Amino acid sequence: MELIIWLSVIGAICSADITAFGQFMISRPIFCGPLFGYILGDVNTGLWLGLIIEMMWINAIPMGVSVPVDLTMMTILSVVWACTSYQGSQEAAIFALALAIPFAYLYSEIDKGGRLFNTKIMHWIERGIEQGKEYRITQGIFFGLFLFLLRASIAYFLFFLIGGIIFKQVYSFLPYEVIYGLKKAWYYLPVFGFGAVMYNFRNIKIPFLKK
Amino acid sequence: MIKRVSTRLFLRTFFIQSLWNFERLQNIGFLYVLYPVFKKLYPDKDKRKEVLLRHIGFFNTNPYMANIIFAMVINSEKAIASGEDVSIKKPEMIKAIMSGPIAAIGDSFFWGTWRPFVSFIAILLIILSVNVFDIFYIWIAPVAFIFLYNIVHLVFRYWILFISFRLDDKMISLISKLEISYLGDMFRVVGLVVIVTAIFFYFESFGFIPTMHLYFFNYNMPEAFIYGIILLLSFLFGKFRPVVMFYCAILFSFILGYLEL
Repeated sequence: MELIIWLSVIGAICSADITAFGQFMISRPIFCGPLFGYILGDVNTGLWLGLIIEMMWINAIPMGVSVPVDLTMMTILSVVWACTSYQGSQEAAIFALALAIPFAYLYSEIDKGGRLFNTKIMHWIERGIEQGKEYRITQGIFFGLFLFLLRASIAYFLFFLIGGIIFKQVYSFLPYEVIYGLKKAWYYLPVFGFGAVMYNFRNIKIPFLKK
Repeated sequence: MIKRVSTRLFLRTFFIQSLWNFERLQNIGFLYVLYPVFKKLYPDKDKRKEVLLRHIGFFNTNPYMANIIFAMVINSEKAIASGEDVSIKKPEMIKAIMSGPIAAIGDSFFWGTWRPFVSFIAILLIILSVNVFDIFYIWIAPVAFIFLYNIVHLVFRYWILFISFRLDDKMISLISKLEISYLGDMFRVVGLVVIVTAIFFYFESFGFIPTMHLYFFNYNMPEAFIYGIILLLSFLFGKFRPVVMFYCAILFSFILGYLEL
């Protein structure tokens, strides 16, 4: 349980990197996947899941007002479920990823709610400035960051537990044919990822051939 | 002449999106970054209140490129505070006019080109560590990703803040001279080479394992043949959303697995 709490907090810090603080890219699947794999003693699974997510969602970036799906949550949930229940199993890792996607979409909706609440904090700061309470700017920024970390930590904690139970229960009932398909997917998914990456190069301009 | 940028100001720029909200996006982050400067320039509380309320409006740009606007706004606020002949609307004009174009440059270069480029290098390193190097060195890929990305990111973020203080209004002509789109195209070409190399090594590593050969209607074919079909299919259907592609890929694997069984 103590490990789950720590993992939730580290996960929340990684998720905060997407928009809230810094953008050092510790939130990218290619880094946080192996990081969580390393913590749980299975770097290879973390690295492979990170590789798949990184390539398939290569274009998911926060631009303007759009809030893309939380790839960090998708990666961390799948790595943690796979490494805590069936360490080293390729088919379990792919199944964990397939299950983590709906959870990541669910969290994106929660995150949107949090950003709507930030508007209220913003108005509280504005009123504060009008009343001469300038310290509310600093308080508001750290309160916003704290709320982000809190809601992400709670979401990670609940998803680790609830999703972990669902994952274990459903996986134990999967027929052999499905498990064999998941094992195939371990090698096929990176190729799908390569295809998604290549699609981005369809309009490539070669600079030294340009007029 | 400015010689260095205050570390405090630089560190504060990392918090620009901490109170990102749907109504005015980065407005409070902007105020947080510039608050110590305003406090210094406007010791009078009533005057400072006016300035803070003037800057609380909508603000949105790329968080890295925002440093240009910070420096230019500080320079013009300094001029206003010292009583120079500068319009009080100049800082707002800078924010309104500059934020869109520099956001487009920052988003397309950092998130559209540099990050994918560094990811491709990491992906190549992962596949090489499986194939050529010892598996023991697999940790190099994520470390290289973070190191390469951040060395450019942090140096750029500091440099752009510093140079914007020095050049002020001339910054606009510097940005146009930087030829970031040319640089972006260069990285995309090199990125393409890197990813094609990664595909080659992937096919070599996992496509010709004897135990993974497929037996379709009595034909014995290497797995690389299926990989080629998958690569073509995923390229052709690349416009679909990644989540749709993912579940289709899983379904495709089930069908192939079932046929093989």
